[in-house]
Amino acid sequence: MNKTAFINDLSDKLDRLNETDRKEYLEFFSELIDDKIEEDGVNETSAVENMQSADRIADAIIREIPVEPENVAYIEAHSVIDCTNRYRMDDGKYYFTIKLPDDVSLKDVIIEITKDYRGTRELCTNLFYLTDGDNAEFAIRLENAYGGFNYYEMTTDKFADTGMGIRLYLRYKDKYYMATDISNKSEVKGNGYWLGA
Amino acid sequence: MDAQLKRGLIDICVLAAIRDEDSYGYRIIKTVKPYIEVSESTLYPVLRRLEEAQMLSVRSVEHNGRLRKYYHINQAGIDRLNAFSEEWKEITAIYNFVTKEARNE
Repeated sequence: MNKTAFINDLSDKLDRLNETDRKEYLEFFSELIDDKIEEDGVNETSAVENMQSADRIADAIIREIPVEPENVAYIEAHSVIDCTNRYRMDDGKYYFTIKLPDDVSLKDVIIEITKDYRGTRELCTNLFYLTDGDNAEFAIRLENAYGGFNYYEMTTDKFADTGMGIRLYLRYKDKYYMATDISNKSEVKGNGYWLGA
Repeated sequence: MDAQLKRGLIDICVLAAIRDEDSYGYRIIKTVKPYIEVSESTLYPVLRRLEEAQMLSVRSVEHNGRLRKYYHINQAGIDRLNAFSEEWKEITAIYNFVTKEARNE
Protein backbone atom coordinates (compact mmCIF):
# COMPACT_ATOMS: atom_id res chain seq x y z
CA MET A 1 0.00 0.00 0.00
CA ASN A 2 1.32 3.45 -0.83
CA LYS A 3 1.00 6.58 1.29
CA THR A 4 -2.04 7.97 -0.53
CA ALA A 5 -3.97 4.72 -0.17
CA PHE A 6 -3.04 4.47 3.52
CA ILE A 7 -4.09 8.05 4.27
CA ASN A 8 -7.37 7.59 2.36
CA ASP A 9 -8.05 4.39 4.30
CA LEU A 10 -7.34 6.13 7.59
CA SER A 11 -9.51 9.07 6.55
CA ASP A 12 -12.47 6.72 5.95
CA LYS A 13 -11.97 5.11 9.35
CA LEU A 14 -11.92 8.50 11.07
CA ASP A 15 -15.18 9.62 9.51
CA ARG A 16 -16.79 10.22 12.90
CA LEU A 17 -14.29 13.03 13.61
CA ASN A 18 -15.07 16.56 12.60
CA GLU A 19 -13.29 17.80 9.48
CA THR A 20 -10.70 19.91 11.32
CA ASP A 21 -9.65 17.10 13.67
CA ARG A 22 -9.54 14.55 10.89
CA LYS A 23 -7.34 16.83 8.77
CA GLU A 24 -4.93 17.33 11.67
CA TYR A 25 -4.59 13.61 12.31
CA LEU A 26 -4.08 12.84 8.64
CA GLU A 27 -1.39 15.54 8.38
CA PHE A 28 0.38 14.05 11.39
CA PHE A 29 0.47 10.55 9.89
CA SER A 30 1.42 11.87 6.47
CA GLU A 31 4.36 13.68 8.09
CA LEU A 32 5.37 10.52 9.96
CA ILE A 33 5.52 8.55 6.71
CA ASP A 34 7.56 11.28 5.00
CA ASP A 35 10.00 11.33 7.95
CA LYS A 36 10.35 7.53 7.94
CA ILE A 37 11.23 7.65 4.25
CA GLU A 38 13.70 10.49 4.73
CA GLU A 39 15.42 9.32 7.92
CA ASP A 40 15.30 5.54 7.57
CA GLY A 41 16.04 5.49 3.84
CA VAL A 42 13.08 3.22 3.08
CA ASN A 43 10.67 3.49 0.18
CA GLU A 44 7.07 4.63 0.53
CA THR A 45 5.61 1.13 0.63
CA SER A 46 8.01 -0.01 3.35
CA ALA A 47 7.35 3.13 5.39
CA VAL A 48 3.61 2.41 5.26
CA GLU A 49 4.11 -1.28 6.06
CA ASN A 50 6.11 -0.31 9.15
CA MET A 51 3.21 1.76 10.45
CA GLN A 52 0.44 0.36 12.60
CA SER A 53 -2.63 -0.58 10.60
CA ALA A 54 -5.18 2.13 9.81
CA ASP A 55 -7.72 0.16 11.87
CA ARG A 56 -5.52 0.17 14.94
CA ILE A 57 -4.60 3.83 14.60
CA ALA A 58 -8.25 4.85 14.15
CA ASP A 59 -9.28 2.83 17.22
CA ALA A 60 -6.58 4.46 19.33
CA ILE A 61 -7.57 7.93 18.17
CA ILE A 62 -11.31 7.47 18.62
CA ARG A 63 -10.99 6.12 22.13
CA GLU A 64 -9.16 9.32 23.12
CA ILE A 65 -12.02 11.50 22.01
CA PRO A 66 -14.53 12.47 24.68
CA VAL A 67 -17.84 10.82 23.92
CA GLU A 68 -21.19 12.48 24.57
CA PRO A 69 -24.66 11.61 23.31
CA GLU A 70 -25.76 14.07 20.66
CA ASN A 71 -28.12 16.80 21.77
CA VAL A 72 -31.13 15.44 19.93
CA ALA A 73 -34.41 13.80 20.83
CA TYR A 74 -33.86 10.10 21.41
CA ILE A 75 -36.65 7.57 21.01
CA GLU A 76 -37.00 4.79 23.49
CA ALA A 77 -37.80 1.77 21.32
CA HIS A 78 -37.34 -1.64 22.87
CA SER A 79 -37.57 -3.15 19.42
CA VAL A 80 -34.22 -1.53 18.53
CA ILE A 81 -32.07 -1.17 21.64
CA ASP A 82 -32.92 -2.39 25.09
CA CYS A 83 -31.58 -3.48 28.42
CA THR A 84 -33.54 -6.70 28.78
CA ASN A 85 -32.22 -7.77 32.15
CA ARG A 86 -30.43 -6.05 35.01
CA TYR A 87 -29.69 -7.16 38.52
CA ARG A 88 -27.17 -7.08 41.31
CA MET A 89 -25.96 -10.26 42.97
CA ASP A 90 -25.42 -10.51 46.70
CA ASP A 91 -21.67 -10.34 46.19
CA GLY A 92 -22.05 -6.86 44.66
CA LYS A 93 -21.60 -7.91 41.02
CA TYR A 94 -23.91 -6.27 38.47
CA TYR A 95 -25.32 -7.87 35.35
CA PHE A 96 -26.86 -5.95 32.45
CA THR A 97 -28.14 -7.66 29.29
CA ILE A 98 -27.97 -5.31 26.32
CA LYS A 99 -29.94 -6.02 23.16
CA LEU A 100 -28.72 -4.57 19.86
CA PRO A 101 -29.56 -5.17 16.19
CA ASP A 102 -26.99 -7.65 14.84
CA ASP A 103 -25.72 -5.19 12.24
CA VAL A 104 -24.73 -2.68 14.93
CA SER A 105 -21.14 -2.48 16.12
CA LEU A 106 -20.37 -1.92 19.80
CA LYS A 107 -18.43 1.10 18.55
CA ASP A 108 -21.74 2.72 17.56
CA VAL A 109 -23.29 2.51 21.00
CA ILE A 110 -22.69 5.11 23.68
CA ILE A 111 -23.07 4.07 27.30
CA GLU A 112 -23.40 6.39 30.27
CA ILE A 113 -22.79 4.94 33.70
CA THR A 114 -23.66 6.29 37.12
CA LYS A 115 -21.83 5.25 40.21
CA ASP A 116 -24.75 5.65 42.61
CA TYR A 117 -28.52 5.93 42.85
CA ARG A 118 -28.43 9.71 42.66
CA GLY A 119 -27.27 9.72 39.06
CA THR A 120 -23.69 10.89 39.60
CA ARG A 121 -22.12 10.17 36.25
CA GLU A 122 -18.98 8.08 36.41
CA LEU A 123 -18.19 7.79 32.73
CA CYS A 124 -19.50 8.04 29.18
CA THR A 125 -17.85 6.08 26.40
CA ASN A 126 -18.41 3.84 23.40
CA LEU A 127 -19.55 0.40 24.53
CA PHE A 128 -16.67 -1.08 22.52
CA TYR A 129 -14.07 0.70 24.64
CA LEU A 130 -15.69 0.02 27.97
CA THR A 131 -13.42 -2.87 28.85
CA ASP A 132 -10.12 -1.25 27.90
CA GLY A 133 -7.47 0.58 29.86
CA ASP A 134 -8.92 2.64 32.67
CA ASN A 135 -12.25 0.83 32.32
CA ALA A 136 -10.90 -2.70 32.52
CA GLU A 137 -13.12 -3.44 35.52
CA PHE A 138 -16.01 -3.96 33.12
CA ALA A 139 -16.55 -7.07 31.03
CA ILE A 140 -18.75 -7.52 27.97
CA ARG A 141 -19.42 -10.77 26.20
CA LEU A 142 -21.82 -11.84 23.49
CA GLU A 143 -24.27 -14.06 25.31
CA ASN A 144 -26.82 -14.85 22.64
CA ALA A 145 -27.87 -14.06 19.07
CA TYR A 146 -31.32 -14.64 17.66
CA GLY A 147 -34.12 -12.91 15.78
CA GLY A 148 -31.75 -10.39 14.19
CA PHE A 149 -30.42 -9.22 17.56
CA ASN A 150 -27.28 -9.74 19.58
CA TYR A 151 -27.56 -9.96 23.35
CA TYR A 152 -24.47 -8.84 25.27
CA GLU A 153 -23.92 -9.36 28.96
CA MET A 154 -22.08 -6.56 30.73
CA THR A 155 -20.77 -7.27 34.22
CA THR A 156 -18.84 -5.33 36.80
CA ASP A 157 -18.30 -5.25 40.53
CA LYS A 158 -16.90 -1.74 40.37
CA PHE A 159 -19.80 -0.18 42.30
CA ALA A 160 -20.42 -3.03 44.72
CA ASP A 161 -21.24 -0.74 47.63
CA THR A 162 -22.92 2.20 45.91
CA GLY A 163 -25.44 1.04 43.30
CA MET A 164 -25.16 1.90 39.63
CA GLY A 165 -27.18 2.74 36.56
CA ILE A 166 -26.73 2.92 32.80
CA ARG A 167 -28.21 4.63 29.76
CA LEU A 168 -27.56 3.50 26.20
CA TYR A 169 -27.64 5.61 23.05
CA LEU A 170 -27.59 4.49 19.44
CA ARG A 171 -27.81 6.27 16.13
CA TYR A 172 -29.24 3.64 13.79
CA LYS A 173 -30.42 4.11 10.21
CA ASP A 174 -30.43 7.89 10.69
CA LYS A 175 -32.64 7.77 13.77
CA TYR A 176 -31.65 8.22 17.40
CA TYR A 177 -32.58 5.53 19.91
CA MET A 178 -32.06 5.26 23.59
CA ALA A 179 -32.47 2.56 26.21
CA THR A 180 -33.82 4.18 29.33
CA ASP A 181 -36.24 3.37 32.08
CA ILE A 182 -39.51 4.75 30.76
CA SER A 183 -42.35 3.31 28.76
CA ASN A 184 -41.80 2.05 25.24
CA LYS A 185 -41.66 4.50 22.31
CA SER A 186 -41.50 7.54 24.51
CA GLU A 187 -39.50 10.44 23.21
CA VAL A 188 -36.78 11.70 25.49
CA LYS A 189 -34.85 14.89 24.99
CA GLY A 190 -31.21 14.37 25.82
CA ASN A 191 -31.62 11.89 28.61
CA GLY A 192 -34.02 9.66 30.43
CA TYR A 193 -34.11 7.73 33.65
CA TRP A 194 -31.20 5.53 34.60
CA LEU A 195 -31.51 1.82 34.20
CA GLY A 196 -30.53 1.04 37.76
CA ALA A 197 -29.52 -2.23 39.37
CA MET B 1 2.29 -1.75 33.55
CA ASP B 2 -0.91 -0.21 34.84
CA ALA B 3 -2.62 1.71 31.98
CA GLN B 4 -3.16 4.87 34.01
CA LEU B 5 0.43 4.90 35.25
CA LYS B 6 1.77 4.30 31.75
CA ARG B 7 -0.36 7.12 30.35
CA GLY B 8 1.11 9.55 32.86
CA LEU B 9 4.65 8.36 32.20
CA ILE B 10 4.26 8.76 28.43
CA ASP B 11 3.24 12.39 28.98
CA ILE B 12 6.38 12.91 31.07
CA CYS B 13 8.63 11.18 28.52
CA VAL B 14 7.25 13.29 25.66
CA LEU B 15 7.87 16.48 27.63
CA ALA B 16 11.38 15.27 28.46
CA ALA B 17 12.01 14.56 24.76
CA ILE B 18 11.43 18.22 23.88
CA ARG B 19 12.95 19.76 27.00
CA ASP B 20 16.37 20.54 25.51
CA GLU B 21 15.30 21.33 21.97
CA ASP B 22 12.14 21.48 19.88
CA SER B 23 11.35 18.25 18.14
CA TYR B 24 8.90 16.67 15.68
CA GLY B 25 6.68 13.59 15.76
CA TYR B 26 8.93 10.89 14.35
CA ARG B 27 11.98 12.06 16.28
CA ILE B 28 9.98 12.16 19.53
CA ILE B 29 8.93 8.54 18.98
CA LYS B 30 12.56 7.51 18.36
CA THR B 31 13.77 9.45 21.42
CA VAL B 32 11.19 8.00 23.78
CA LYS B 33 11.02 4.41 22.48
CA PRO B 34 14.12 3.07 24.30
CA TYR B 35 12.47 3.99 27.60
CA ILE B 36 8.75 3.36 27.15
CA GLU B 37 6.64 1.77 24.44
CA VAL B 38 4.96 4.48 22.40
CA SER B 39 3.28 3.91 19.06
CA GLU B 40 2.36 6.31 16.28
CA SER B 41 -1.29 6.14 17.30
CA THR B 42 -0.45 6.86 20.94
CA LEU B 43 1.72 9.89 20.33
CA TYR B 44 -0.57 12.33 18.60
CA PRO B 45 -3.38 12.21 21.20
CA VAL B 46 -0.68 12.78 23.84
CA LEU B 47 0.70 15.79 21.96
CA ARG B 48 -2.81 17.22 21.60
CA ARG B 49 -3.55 16.69 25.26
CA LEU B 50 -0.32 18.40 26.30
CA GLU B 51 -1.03 21.27 23.92
CA GLU B 52 -4.52 21.73 25.36
CA ALA B 53 -2.95 21.79 28.83
CA GLN B 54 -0.60 24.49 27.49
CA MET B 55 2.43 22.39 28.40
CA LEU B 56 3.71 22.62 24.84
CA SER B 57 3.11 24.69 21.73
CA VAL B 58 3.31 23.80 18.06
CA ARG B 59 4.72 25.56 15.02
CA SER B 60 4.97 24.46 11.41
CA VAL B 61 8.35 24.74 9.69
CA GLU B 62 9.03 24.22 6.01
CA HIS B 63 11.29 21.21 5.53
CA ASN B 64 12.34 19.78 2.17
CA GLY B 65 9.35 21.30 0.43
CA ARG B 66 6.80 20.15 3.00
CA LEU B 67 5.59 21.33 6.39
CA ARG B 68 6.79 19.65 9.54
CA LYS B 69 5.31 20.37 12.96
CA TYR B 70 7.76 21.14 15.76
CA TYR B 71 6.76 20.89 19.41
CA HIS B 72 8.14 23.33 21.96
CA ILE B 73 7.93 22.87 25.73
CA ASN B 74 6.25 25.71 27.64
CA GLN B 75 6.79 26.79 31.23
CA ALA B 76 3.83 24.66 32.36
CA GLY B 77 5.55 21.64 30.80
CA ILE B 78 8.82 22.42 32.55
CA ASP B 79 6.91 22.81 35.82
CA ARG B 80 5.31 19.41 35.23
CA LEU B 81 8.72 17.79 34.72
CA ASN B 82 10.05 19.41 37.90
CA ALA B 83 7.00 18.26 39.85
CA PHE B 84 7.50 14.75 38.49
CA SER B 85 11.09 14.71 39.77
CA GLU B 86 9.84 15.59 43.25
CA GLU B 87 7.01 13.04 43.10
CA TRP B 88 9.47 10.38 42.02
CA LYS B 89 11.54 10.82 45.16
CA GLU B 90 8.45 9.90 47.18
CA ILE B 91 7.69 6.95 44.90
CA THR B 92 11.29 5.71 45.22
CA ALA B 93 11.01 5.88 49.00
CA ILE B 94 7.78 3.84 48.84
CA TYR B 95 9.42 1.35 46.47
CA ASN B 96 12.36 0.92 48.84
CA PHE B 97 9.96 0.39 51.73
CA VAL B 98 7.89 -2.18 49.81
CA THR B 99 10.88 -4.17 48.53
CA LYS B 100 12.50 -4.09 51.98
CA GLU B 101 9.29 -5.54 53.46
CA ALA B 102 9.28 -8.19 50.75
CA ARG B 103 12.90 -9.13 51.48
CA ASN B 104 12.16 -9.49 55.18
CA GLU B 105 9.25 -11.88 54.61
